Amino acid sequence: MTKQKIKPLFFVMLAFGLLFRIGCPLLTSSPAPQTLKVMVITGQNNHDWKTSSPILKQILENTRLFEVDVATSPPRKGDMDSFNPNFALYQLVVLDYNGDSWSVRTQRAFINYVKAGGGVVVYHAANNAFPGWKEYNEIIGLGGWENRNETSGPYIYWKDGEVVRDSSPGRGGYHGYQHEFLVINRDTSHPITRGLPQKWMHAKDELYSLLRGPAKNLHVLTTAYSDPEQSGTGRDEPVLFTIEYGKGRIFHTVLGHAGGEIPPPAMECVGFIVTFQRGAEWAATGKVTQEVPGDFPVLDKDVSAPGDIRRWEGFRPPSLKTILQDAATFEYGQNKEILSQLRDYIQSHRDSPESRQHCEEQLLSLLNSSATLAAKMTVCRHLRMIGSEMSVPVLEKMLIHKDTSDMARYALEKIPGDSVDNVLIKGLAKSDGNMRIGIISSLGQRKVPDSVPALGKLIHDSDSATAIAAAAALGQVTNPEAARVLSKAMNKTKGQLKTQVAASLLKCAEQFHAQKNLKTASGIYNKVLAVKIPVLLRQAAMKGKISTAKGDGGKIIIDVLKSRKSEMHSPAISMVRDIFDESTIQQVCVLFPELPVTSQAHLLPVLSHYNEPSVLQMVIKTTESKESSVRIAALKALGKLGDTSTLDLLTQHAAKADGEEQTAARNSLWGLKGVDTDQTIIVNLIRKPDPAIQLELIQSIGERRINEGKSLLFDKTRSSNPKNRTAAIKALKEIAAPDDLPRLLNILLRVKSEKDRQEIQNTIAAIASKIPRQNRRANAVSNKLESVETVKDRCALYRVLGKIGVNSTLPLIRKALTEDNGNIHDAAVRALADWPNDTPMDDLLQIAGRSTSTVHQVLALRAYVRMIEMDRYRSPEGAARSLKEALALSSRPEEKIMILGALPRFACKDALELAESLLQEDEVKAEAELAVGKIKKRLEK
Amino acid sequence: MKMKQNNINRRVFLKRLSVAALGTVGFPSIVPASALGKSGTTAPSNRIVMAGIGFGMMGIPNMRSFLSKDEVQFVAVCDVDKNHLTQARDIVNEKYGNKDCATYHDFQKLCQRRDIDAVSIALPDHWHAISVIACARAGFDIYGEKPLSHSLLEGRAMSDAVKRYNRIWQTGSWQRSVANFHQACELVRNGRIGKIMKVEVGLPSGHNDFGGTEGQETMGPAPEHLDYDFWLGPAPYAPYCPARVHRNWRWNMDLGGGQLMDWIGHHVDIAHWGLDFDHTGPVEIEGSGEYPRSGVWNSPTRYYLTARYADGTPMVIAGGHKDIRSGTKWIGESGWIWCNRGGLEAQPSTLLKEFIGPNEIRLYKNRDHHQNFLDCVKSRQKTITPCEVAHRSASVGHLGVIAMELGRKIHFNPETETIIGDPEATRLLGRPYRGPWHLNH
Repeated sequence: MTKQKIKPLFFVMLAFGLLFRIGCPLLTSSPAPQTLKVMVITGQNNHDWKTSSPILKQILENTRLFEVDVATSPPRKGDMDSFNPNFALYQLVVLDYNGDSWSVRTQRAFINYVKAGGGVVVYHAANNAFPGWKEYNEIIGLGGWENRNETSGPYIYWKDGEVVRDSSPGRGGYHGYQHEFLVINRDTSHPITRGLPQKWMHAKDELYSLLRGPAKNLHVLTTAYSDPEQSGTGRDEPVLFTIEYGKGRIFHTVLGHAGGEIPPPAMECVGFIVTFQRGAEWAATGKVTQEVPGDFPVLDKDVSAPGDIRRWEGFRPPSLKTILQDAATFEYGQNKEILSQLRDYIQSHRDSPESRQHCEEQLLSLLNSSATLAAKMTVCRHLRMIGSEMSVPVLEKMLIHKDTSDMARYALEKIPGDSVDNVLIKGLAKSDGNMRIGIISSLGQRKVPDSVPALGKLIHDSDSATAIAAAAALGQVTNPEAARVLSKAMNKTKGQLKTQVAASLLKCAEQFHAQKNLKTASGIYNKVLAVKIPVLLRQAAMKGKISTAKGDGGKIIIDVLKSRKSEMHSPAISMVRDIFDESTIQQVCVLFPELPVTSQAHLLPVLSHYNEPSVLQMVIKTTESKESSVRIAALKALGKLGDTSTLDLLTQHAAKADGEEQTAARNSLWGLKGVDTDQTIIVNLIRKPDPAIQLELIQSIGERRINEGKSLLFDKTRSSNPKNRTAAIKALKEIAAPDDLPRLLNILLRVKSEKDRQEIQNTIAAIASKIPRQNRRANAVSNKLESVETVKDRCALYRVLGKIGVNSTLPLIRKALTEDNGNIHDAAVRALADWPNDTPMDDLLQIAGRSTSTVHQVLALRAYVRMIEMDRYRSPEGAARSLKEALALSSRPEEKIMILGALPRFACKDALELAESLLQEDEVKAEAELAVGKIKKRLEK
Repeated sequence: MKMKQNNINRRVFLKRLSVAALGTVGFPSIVPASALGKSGTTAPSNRIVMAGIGFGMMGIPNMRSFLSKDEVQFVAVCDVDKNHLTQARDIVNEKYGNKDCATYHDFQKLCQRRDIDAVSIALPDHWHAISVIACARAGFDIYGEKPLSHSLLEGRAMSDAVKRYNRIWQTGSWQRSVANFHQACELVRNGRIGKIMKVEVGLPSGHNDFGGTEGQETMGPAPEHLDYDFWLGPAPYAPYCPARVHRNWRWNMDLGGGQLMDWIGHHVDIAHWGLDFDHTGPVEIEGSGEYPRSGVWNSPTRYYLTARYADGTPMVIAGGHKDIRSGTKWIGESGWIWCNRGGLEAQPSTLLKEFIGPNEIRLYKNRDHHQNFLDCVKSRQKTITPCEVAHRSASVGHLGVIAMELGRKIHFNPETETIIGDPEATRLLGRPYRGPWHLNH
């Protein structure tokens, strides 16, 4: 987990810790009676106390045992006289302080507090503080740094199974590199360390060493080896110990370095958190009531590795018991965070059987309590995933109560085991209505074989919804017994229930089919086919019958298709591909001519999958059918089946047909396979004079991108047939390349009809846009412009420039705009109006405002509005301003409507005012109202 | 559930009788033109009689698309919210200039009509399976919204039912009907970037407040026009609040599947298409998601999933991770192709100018998603996004949700569609239903 990833979470957790207490009336108004009041003293430290103190508070409060206040001292060199915490209010003081001396009054108050039995936790660098304050050093037992030495007291370390008190001279306080280290439990009977493993890995931390102090009444709980490899002392140094002072109990942890990485890895270590929580409770009360969490790290091998470390993101999550305590009063819409806590807990504890069982026990105890229904539903969601047979008795009770039945099933349905099956079956007799239908549904989902007799009886229940549900459930159980019961019920039921019985039998048959029990399946299909039920179910049975008939499937299909009753044709046709292959499909083909039209149309797509000459011949023949739907289906089928040999046929159809049939023929022609097809299209275009045929072939060259046909297409642009000429120009759009631009420009200057001129302009613009460098796209056209003289040619070239839209050619257009010749001027206006980007907006606004031609005004205005809409990053206010200018120039309702249509995209106050200004104009009132409504709606968001 | 059906006039009644008598289920009904009272350009025998279920969000635009087609005659609408119902009915009646559109509160009553060829369903995810299976058995062809299902088991049951009753199905995964996606997939299929080494699918993150009800989580009675208990249907009980219902239900995992499931039927569907994985699924999937700490909207806001298919192809599906670009990106041995709505890019970029010829692998080509459904209703051919294909796209998301929930890798057999060696994950493949709702096959 990376640092960045943790950071936000960390702060969210801290923020939540604060919010939670404010936002959750449950906790603040009625704290658990045993809540212990704690004061964390901080405010000065050589460590990052601003990080550590809220974490310590949260770690303690997560147990739900403590209520923590943080007493923050004045800053270093501040007025320490003003720091007078009221120790008497607290049962525990946590020291996260290493700084200026307290006032004498505060020192005395502290000593008296401890002497009188107050608890203390000494945390990490707090043991650096106050080297000269005698009582303080007796309270903390051991200290370090700040010139401590042999006068401070002995070194304490572990050697050969016992504590060594070493009074040899030397410095007090030292640590090597920060690293992960192994903590060894030296007293497994002390309340703090009882139940903790023999050893565990601790996260990266400073391992305090060479601590020395009075060490009176000091009891070592755990030690860690200060490894010379990490620049350590080679001693087993004490890391957790207790001291007794007067009536007071002190828990001293040297662990939990805070500084640098946030959150501090040492503080997220489970070992640190749990021992801190337990030590705090012991110091405050002399007892530890907390359970060791299931995921406390355990080291069961000799070689320790950093991978053995366990950290809790967000520090000590509350125990399941405390989460459930909070969750018990959960109502929808309130205190929802608790559900996430529960989810987190279960997620991190469901992997080992033991902790999973612990979770289940706790969850069940909530179900047994007077918790809210919402809380119980939440618990059932978790039992759906982790519940075992242990849950069954509790859920059984809930199953037959109206308010809890659905939630009980939410868990039960997914819990494996016969006892669940039995409980559900028993539940049938103790429930009715929706509750019973729910239980029936669960039995079906679980496919419970033993439920068949009970469900069989319920098919005949007087409540029809129950009966239908029972029949549906039997269809899910799908064993031979269920099938027997359903078969029996078939003749005794009617209406919707009978339909359901039949549907369930179909499901059973599918199951038997899947199990290769074809005989039973086929028997069921025959039975369903014989009863009076909606044809759809009988059709389904027919499909089943064909698929389970082994070698006879083909015969059944043929018999069905021969039959005049066409209602079974559809299922039979849908099974053709499963039964017939290339060698046998002819049996179906021979029936084709006699089939009803609808069946023919539906059979043709099926036949198109058979790559077989006789099928192809039949389909070719069918293109002459009298029925257009059949012809269309045949032409479509040829697109798949056909090859070069089918080319002429498709071309002819495409040429002479119209509407859907022509579309079908063309699509097939354009997608026709065959290695020679492209070549044959070119040859045909040369050889076949019929203009209608030529048209189809010209289009095919474009659609099929037949590059070899390019020069032929250029020839065809001179065709005397106007349709073919236009088609050739269009087809060149698909296959011409930038190299061809000069030739294309020649066409432009040559063509006579307006239609051809437009097509070739579009083609040239499209081919020019294939040039990778944008600023070169217009080169061919602007070069040409220099060599032409006639107005007509110039106009044509200006129009193309407009469609290509390279900004460097704008001056050419602007110049043309100033020319006196009306045609040139007109072409220039139109070129600007076509411009694909919004560069010429100002030009257009001018034209719209100043032109004497109404046509030009309108063209320019419309292009201007279009360009405003083009830039979606334009600021709404800017766009509204531009649209306002456009509106000022609009005289016709058409343009006003266009502007109103654009306004909502730029919702802002100005846009709204502009739209509202048109509300009074009758001709555009409706559009104005619509725009105003849309803008308002967007502004609200 | 009380049936509420208005405006069934004599003409419709007669039509229903005549159609029932013909018994042409399996092929589109033949609606006499006289009964329709319209002189459309489409031959009467090609008319497709349609109804719509669910009009809170996609129902209206889908219906408008169908209404714009000459061959469609809308005859009924169904919704448990009276406001939605009235709005939908008015649109139909305005289109035809009459008051003939029937209204239903309960889709089960609608399913009893024998004159309907096809339905357009746009219900919240938790209603998909039950309504679709009922409609399939009623003989309706179905245009249904994505994601196909609310759980993997439901998807299997839906696809089976559609197949059993020979129904035509189209999923609202309309990207397959758009040129750039089609082009991208054809290039990939034809090996233009070589063997595929990895696929990256970028989906949206967070929640979109489509209903304008974000944070409106005060529980209370539902408004009079909404039959909330029916609306909740098979989902676990929870009291009404505006943020839970219309247009925003998707953000609650009891009702929808968040951004991941909303978009799985788009970009993963496209990824599958390009890979020819329409009929298979991953063999393993793992990943993690970030979930809101509180609130009704509890679907993951950021997620990162890694799936692997049987041939070894890895697929990353991520939302809210900048390194995974929104859309679908296939990375091959010799280049990559990326596509998104309105976007198509490739490396080398010349790939995009390549034409896939008639003798290469051509994918189903279609440019009008709703029309494709209608065409297939008539031809009885598969649509561009059949039910089974939609099921396979959605399955990846369902498995991803389970992997995120459990925080571990899931192994999956795409043949049997079972999870291998993980009973806990197997429990999550389906959801228990609130009574009296059940899967009515």
